[in-house]
Amino acid sequence: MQLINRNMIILNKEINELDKFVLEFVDIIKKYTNYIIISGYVAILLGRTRGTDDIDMIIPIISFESFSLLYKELLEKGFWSLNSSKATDLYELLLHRSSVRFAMEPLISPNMEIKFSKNMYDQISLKSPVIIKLGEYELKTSQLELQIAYKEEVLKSNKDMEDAKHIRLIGKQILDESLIRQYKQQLRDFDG
Amino acid sequence: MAKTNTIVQLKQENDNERMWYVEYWANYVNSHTDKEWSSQQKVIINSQLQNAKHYRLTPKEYLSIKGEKCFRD
Repeated sequence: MQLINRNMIILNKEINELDKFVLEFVDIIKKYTNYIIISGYVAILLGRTRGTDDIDMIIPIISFESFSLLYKELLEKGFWSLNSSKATDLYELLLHRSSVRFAMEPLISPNMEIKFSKNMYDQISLKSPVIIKLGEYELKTSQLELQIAYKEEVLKSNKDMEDAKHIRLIGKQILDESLIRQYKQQLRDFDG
Repeated sequence: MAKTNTIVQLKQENDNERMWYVEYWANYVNSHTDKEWSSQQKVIINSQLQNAKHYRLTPKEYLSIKGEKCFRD
């Protein structure tokens, strides 16, 4: 793993079935909109040995027309939404800050859990992503400092604390500890 | 009370062991090539996904567990 800087990581890993699922999905979504992948899958991508049934993705708010085109191609490529077969239902859910999930039909897992961007953290992350290069592919995620702060300050489950520790140990050469503290303070203020 | 203390103690020991393993594995990842750690990771993840294919949950049941809306029957 090459930690080039805080915005670029190069991986030369063997691609597993979960990675394949994510790469196939990203290959479609990037044609229609920007995106970032966050949370558990990022820790897994960086080496954590645990499975997950869902991958968290944030996209900017897009028009219904764009979403319909995206949905059409997802269906053509073998995906289905667990929530509904109708694009209008899915778009409504997204507008109401709910997530929609896509898996390869007829499976339930793994699934991509998509949400529209909902706060300044999502917007900043979409604007300035961390790029993870996987050979000819690349994936976008948010700053590792923000992911650590969110897991340690907001989520706090054992799984999240373990993910945060893993990312801390893997990223120690490039992580900005003062930024993690700053994000934690902001998240506390945000919550209050 | 003694039983409660034992459960709390067992949970703490389990948490400590899990954190120890996270540290052990992260050190392994840091000290080996991507190909080396990822080939081991691949076995675990692929096997978990293979098992997940046998889930018998419907989308509605799955989303109900997650507390999310489903418009499918």
